Amino acid sequence: MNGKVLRSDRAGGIWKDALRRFCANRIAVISLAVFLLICLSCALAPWLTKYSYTAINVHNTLAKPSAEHWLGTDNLGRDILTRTLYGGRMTLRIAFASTVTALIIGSVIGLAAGYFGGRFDFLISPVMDIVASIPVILLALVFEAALGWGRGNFMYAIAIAAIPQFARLVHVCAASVMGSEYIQAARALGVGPFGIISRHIIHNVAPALIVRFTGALAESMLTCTVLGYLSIGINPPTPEWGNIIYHARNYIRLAPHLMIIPCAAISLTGISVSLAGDGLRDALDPRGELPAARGLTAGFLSLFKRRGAAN
Amino acid sequence: MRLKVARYIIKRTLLFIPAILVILFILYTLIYFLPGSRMAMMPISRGGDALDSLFTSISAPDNFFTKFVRYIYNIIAHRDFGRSTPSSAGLMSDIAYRIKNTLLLLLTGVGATIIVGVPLGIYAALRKGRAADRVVSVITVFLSALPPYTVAIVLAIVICVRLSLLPVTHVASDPKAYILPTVTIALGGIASVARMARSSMLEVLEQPYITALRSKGLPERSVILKHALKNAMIPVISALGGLIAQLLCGTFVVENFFMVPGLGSFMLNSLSVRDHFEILGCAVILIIILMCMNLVSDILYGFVNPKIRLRYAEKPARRKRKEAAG
Amino acid sequence: MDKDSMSDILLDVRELDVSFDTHTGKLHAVNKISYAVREGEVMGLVGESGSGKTVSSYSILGLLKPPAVINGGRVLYKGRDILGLSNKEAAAIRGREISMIFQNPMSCFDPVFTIGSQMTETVLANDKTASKAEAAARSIDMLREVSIRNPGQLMRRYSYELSGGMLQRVMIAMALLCKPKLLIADEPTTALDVTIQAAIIQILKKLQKQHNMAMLYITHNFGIVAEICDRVSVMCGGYIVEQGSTDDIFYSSAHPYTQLLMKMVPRMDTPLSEPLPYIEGLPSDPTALGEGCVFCTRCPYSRDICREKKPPEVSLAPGHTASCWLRADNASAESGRPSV
Repeated sequence: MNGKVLRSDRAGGIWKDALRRFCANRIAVISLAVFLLICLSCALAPWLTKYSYTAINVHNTLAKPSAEHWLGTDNLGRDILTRTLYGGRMTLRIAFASTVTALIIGSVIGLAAGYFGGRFDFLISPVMDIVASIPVILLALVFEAALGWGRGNFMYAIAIAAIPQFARLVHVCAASVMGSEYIQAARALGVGPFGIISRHIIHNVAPALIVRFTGALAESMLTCTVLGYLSIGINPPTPEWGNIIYHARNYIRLAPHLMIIPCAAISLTGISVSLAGDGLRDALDPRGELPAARGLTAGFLSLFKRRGAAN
Repeated sequence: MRLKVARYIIKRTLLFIPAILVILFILYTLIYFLPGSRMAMMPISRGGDALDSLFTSISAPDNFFTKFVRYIYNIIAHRDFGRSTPSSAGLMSDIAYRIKNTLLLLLTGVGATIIVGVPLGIYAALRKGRAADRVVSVITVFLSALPPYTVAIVLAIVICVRLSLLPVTHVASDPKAYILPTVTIALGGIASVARMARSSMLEVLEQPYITALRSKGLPERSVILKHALKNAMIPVISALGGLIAQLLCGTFVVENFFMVPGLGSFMLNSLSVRDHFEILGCAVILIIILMCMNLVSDILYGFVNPKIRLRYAEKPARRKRKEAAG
Repeated sequence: MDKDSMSDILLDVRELDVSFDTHTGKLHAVNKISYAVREGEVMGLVGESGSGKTVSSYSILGLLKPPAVINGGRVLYKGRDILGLSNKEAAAIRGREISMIFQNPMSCFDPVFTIGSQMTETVLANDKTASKAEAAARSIDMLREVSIRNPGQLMRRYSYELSGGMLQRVMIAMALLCKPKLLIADEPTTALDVTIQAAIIQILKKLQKQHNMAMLYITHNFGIVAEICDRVSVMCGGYIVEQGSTDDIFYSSAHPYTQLLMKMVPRMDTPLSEPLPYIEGLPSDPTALGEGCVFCTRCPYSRDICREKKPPEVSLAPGHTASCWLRADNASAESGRPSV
């Protein structure tokens, strides 16, 4: 990749190392910057736009981009830029809310299963497996049918469907940590459960969790916009990238930019999250990197990825 | 060893049925408890079938659980998903051809994903760092992050509008009309699988046992295609379940965009009409289809990864100690 | 090397030079080393971690991958240069003529295939005339030779079901299946318990004598050298600093590095209060090797000339050479091949 080779013996621990590695990866940095820029501009939508996203102006429909309306207007004369920014705000808000919720709940569940093991594990694992087998879309549709559609009830479905992946990750990590010998040593030294959990388990699982979070974020964004596209997401006139596309479908020949702009926005956000996530994974998991070898064996053996052997 | 494989397959299959029932129960609960739900009003007696005799013999009360049992039994024994109005024909007759369409889209999507995606990823891994690898990597990263409607739109504009090669809207009798929908679904899947296969293969090729295999004098072809490939496939197959869910998402979009009459579009229609029996019925059918696919991928996983067979076939004993002694 | 015993030299490594092109610079792993192994002889390759022992042995079988670069030298096996063979040509030699066993047996088996299938495929790959049944039978016989009690059952197991010692025995069996003339053993007992180590060494000794097999035994443990090796090459920083028979090395070692290495082996009779001996300093940075002797920064006897020029290879006795300025003064420098 683009990563520079870094000496692994500098002080600062894995986070500083990872930060350095990440910053050396141009693509990852650019992607993260793009993503943060998008999030920021959508969050600041009320301050960045002068129009209301419901301001209908039938005299100026389907206008081309101009100084007045930077991206033009849609079929009802509403400013596209405004609707795009607000739409992003809604989509990203839903995606973040559901993914963060899933992360927290899933981590707690996984932690319980891994830390206590035994009966907890026995109960939780099959439940997680089953929930993981339900496709998000179906669950979202059923939730909408049950709770009424158009009001964002699918958020619960997205969150629930995202829980198992975090739970499994934390569970596996917690179980392996709890089964390792240094935990017995820690316990013998009197480290309490909080210490073990925070210092050892969370510290070990955090990198993978972060990477998984970016993936889940992209997935929930996708589900949210697909539901919007199918016109069962958020109800108009509230803009959401998916439902903007849905309404723009009829104008695909007349004014294709109506559809292209939100599509481009979603795709750009998705790709930047994806690439940033890849960059994070490469930075946090250095296995793909060549460490600067001081000993020949270390450098050479790292090429052959011998783990556990004398290094 | 064959016994272990057989045991694993049997166990997975046996677990599959309760899993479906649990999922159906969850969905049923959701639909049941909304106000005015006709599910709640469904009678538990059908008038003289086996379940009725069972119910009367144990004097089952008329509550939520028995209604669920009745619902499931109706589906299994009578293929009756319930009806909203007494005059409607019932789900199965309405949607038999729709099931075919959706199945076609899903199966060809999965098939194309594996048949194209895996070799693509492996090829890129074998040519790591060279032009072919870079091209594949860039394209797959790009494609895997594109939502299905974007792909559909682009394909529609390029192929249908500009080049007029294929029809946009689906016409039932025209096989060409299936091409675009399938390609749209498959592209995202191919990109995901290719990325996964590539990174998995790269990781496997770094392993010490690959060098050890070479040192035994095995031909390179055997090292890569027999050993490396099988190991690389393990994470790919285990991710197949999630992939199928992703493809289902694409199916919904595609059915809407290209107007393919399938289960997805039917379900959306029922949603807007608020026909609960139809919604749940469609969900049930889709769940069954998906769980079957998951079962197949689980079984495949068991073939590829011997460790999982062990987990299912015997209690985790201290095998190492046994071995060391013997 | 004695000219008249040239005929039974099996492996003749001449001026092998390997480096790695890394981001931080060129890493010179192996610096023009030369040694020879005769038929039926056990040559020990001794040195610290990072001395280049493993890299040199990998290059014999062509198992190095980029960014490793072979800069020069020849590896003559039975008179034929096998360095720089294509993968396909090298595969003909691997397993059949030259086999290798590795340091960490747990990670040297394919986890998704049974032991048995991996053994039979070795036979089938190297011996085109064998049938599957024959291959299985030979594998079982070989497993018995390495003292495995229930070979038939073991063939059906997977590698993760077995212990390290067991797997190392299987690896030895697998390496010897096709009766190679030369076995390269890369620290096969380093990852094992001491008691298992002893068992493995015994098995290797027995099989080596039985098949009259030559062995290149890589290790950092002089105890093992004493046990199993006929000749020894001592490596440091990618150079061979001393070479000779085991007796030469143990009783009349000439290079300071060798002497210090041997002093570092803890003895049973040292008083407990005495600290363990060690060599000062760290192994030299292979990207920044200087002009002088590779050991000069840590050598207790180093002088100015040691830092300025590389020492010549000095012959101290028939078959015993050392690269050290100390010896160059006393004995006449061999006008043969300069070692660096």
